[in-house]
Amino acid sequence: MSKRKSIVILTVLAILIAFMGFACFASGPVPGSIKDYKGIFGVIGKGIDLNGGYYAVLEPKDEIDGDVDAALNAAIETLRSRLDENGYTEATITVENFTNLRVEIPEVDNADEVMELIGDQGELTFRSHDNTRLVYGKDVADAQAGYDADGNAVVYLEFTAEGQKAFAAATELVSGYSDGENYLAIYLGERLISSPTVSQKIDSRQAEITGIESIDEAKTIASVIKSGALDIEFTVGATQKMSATLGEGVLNNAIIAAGIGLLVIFAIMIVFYGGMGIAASIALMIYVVLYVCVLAIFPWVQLTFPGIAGIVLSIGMAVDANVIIFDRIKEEYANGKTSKASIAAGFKRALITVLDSNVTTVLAAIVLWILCSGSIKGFAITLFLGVLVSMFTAVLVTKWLINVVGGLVKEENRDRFFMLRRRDA
Amino acid sequence: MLNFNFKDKNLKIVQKFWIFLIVSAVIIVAGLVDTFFVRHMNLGVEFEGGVSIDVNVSGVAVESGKIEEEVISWLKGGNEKKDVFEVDGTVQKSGVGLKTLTFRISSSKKDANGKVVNLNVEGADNKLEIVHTSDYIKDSENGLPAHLREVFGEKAVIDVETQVISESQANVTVRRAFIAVGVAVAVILVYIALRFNLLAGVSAIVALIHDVLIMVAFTTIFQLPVNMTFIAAIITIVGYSINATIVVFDRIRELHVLPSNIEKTDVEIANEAITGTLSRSILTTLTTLVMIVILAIFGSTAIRDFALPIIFGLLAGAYSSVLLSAPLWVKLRKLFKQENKKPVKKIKKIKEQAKA
Repeated sequence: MSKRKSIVILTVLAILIAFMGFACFASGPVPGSIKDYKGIFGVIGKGIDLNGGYYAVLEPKDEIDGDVDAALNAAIETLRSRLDENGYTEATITVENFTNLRVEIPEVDNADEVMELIGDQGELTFRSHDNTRLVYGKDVADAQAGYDADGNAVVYLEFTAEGQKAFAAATELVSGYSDGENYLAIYLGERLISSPTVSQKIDSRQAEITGIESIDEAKTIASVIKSGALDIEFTVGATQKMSATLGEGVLNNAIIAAGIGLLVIFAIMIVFYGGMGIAASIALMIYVVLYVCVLAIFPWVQLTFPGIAGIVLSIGMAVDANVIIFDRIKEEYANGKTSKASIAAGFKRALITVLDSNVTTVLAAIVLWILCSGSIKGFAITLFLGVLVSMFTAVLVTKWLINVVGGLVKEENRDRFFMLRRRDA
Repeated sequence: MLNFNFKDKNLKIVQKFWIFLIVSAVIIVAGLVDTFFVRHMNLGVEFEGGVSIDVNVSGVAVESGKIEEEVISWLKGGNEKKDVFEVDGTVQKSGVGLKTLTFRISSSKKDANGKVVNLNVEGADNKLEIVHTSDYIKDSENGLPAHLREVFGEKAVIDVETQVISESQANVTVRRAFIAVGVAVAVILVYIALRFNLLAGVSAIVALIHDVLIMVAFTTIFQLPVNMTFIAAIITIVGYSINATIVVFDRIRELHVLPSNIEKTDVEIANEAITGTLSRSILTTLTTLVMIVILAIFGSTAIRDFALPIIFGLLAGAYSSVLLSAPLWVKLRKLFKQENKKPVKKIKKIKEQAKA
């Protein structure tokens, strides 16, 4: 690559990284506007420990019969899956005063509504006009939120084989009633969601619930249907907004720490690998902004402090791939290859190592993602995304950047610039 | 120019395996004995249950931090009723509400000396003891409100609420996390067995278990509080440490199939692989340590409590992947009489590729 081309590419990259870095991490008032700029990093959902949230105490309506702990644990399981389904993986549930459940949810817009739905006993029933229950939650195999053809939020239901029969029988019965009574009321607990008019028997595996206000509500309803009914009926007791449990400013400190750490890593990489270290440093900056953007795109990412630490740590890990590759290049060069051949061989050979070592981490993350709930699930998601992004930047982006950075110095000085030395030289 | 040049040196790491193993074993045994028989882990509210205290002082001007200071010193035995009530374990502050401060104390009743919440109720079981503690703290005559009124004056409106927190849910989460880690480890084992060989997989998993045990040992020895973030720290290390081990086995795999190495013994190949990857192992551990240490320096106590186990885990991971995993593989191959088994098929394949 010619020197001029290298300089142009690096300048463009510097501007891009500076712009993206600013877009990611800057925050504060926008001049000439009353709005605050939040930054891409600020958009990522955050847990209660960093950003506070909302808590509500669920109190059982009646005294619980039998084994209280077992009943509460079953209820927690159900609530947990509802929260996870709605993307609140960082919500926590604790048992308080032996019979109450304290639910803490980070970053909710309409907390009371969420609690009303999440804490609802939530048995799905289809009822006729005289309140006869015809179809139950157990008849539903799956529930998904979505939009209908007109763009309205709906919940798609898929019945079990039994459910299909019950639904067909129910629609046949209801359609026979006179006008005004020929509807099927859909209840979640004691909450009426909608009551569509039925004009004929519907023998179908699928059905949809309409009359839902927003897609968020549809998602919550779907999650409540899917998780099954609660055996305990709760009332929502004390509710309150809560501040960040780790205290304010933790996030800023972590960002500053990450920045300083990055500078130290740049220094280490450049001292050890010269020009290749410069390429790796640029790749690392690209990694950071790319990763932040990816985290912001995925709606079910909710960062807690361990998550932040995971990101910080993943920066350290992203360097690992580069170290493996560069070491390999040095070795190939020491054994007599030209620098160009060494770089090609180094990347080719080290790719296997990087893949094998990262695939294990990805596998572990997927297992945790599937099997765990709550904050561990959230952690697994950030880990999974971090490893994927780092493999891309550390291997592909770095390879290209070495070529670009190499163009800055004359061909005959390039080997020294990359700190490549012959054995015993 | 700096350079870690180990490649041409023979550090004879495989031959020193037993020394390295004994060093680890001593730490692990000491830590586990401490964990199970002496001081136990310093478990947080999530695991042991306890009391959550909400404190709200209004009506008077209060310096920031003053309430926190007063509450903690009172809980820690600064009250006159020291013989009745004293917390010598963790008091976790977690801000609830915009004005209300929340404190959480864990309740483990361990033995005469290791108690966290110590309320002198004869013959009380743990559950009852927590209820008593909870009631005592909010008691307006003798408890925290009385103390705060003394400090902030009669004008202050003092509101102290206490809740008893049960431990059950955290334990369910942890049990599930451990099952998940177990499954993840099994999946990793299968992957390594397929990509490398079974004994390499077994060695890598033993190294992972080693790292987790060292973390547990140090966490108990330094009495760091154990809460959900500790579980996250363990998982972080499991994900990270396996990388380093694989890099070493990758090098062994490569050296093994080199035609020029066909006469070399397992010991020679393992040593060569370890020294060949040593500069990478050191450098990577260094860069990762830099990040986490700086985070610990800038962070609050809660953050340091999370960072320290990770730092122990990183060091343990570097130690095990360099000094234990490959030597263990050599010993296992000898044990199962596989030391002469060379991957001949692969050599043929490589030769064919070279010709083509």
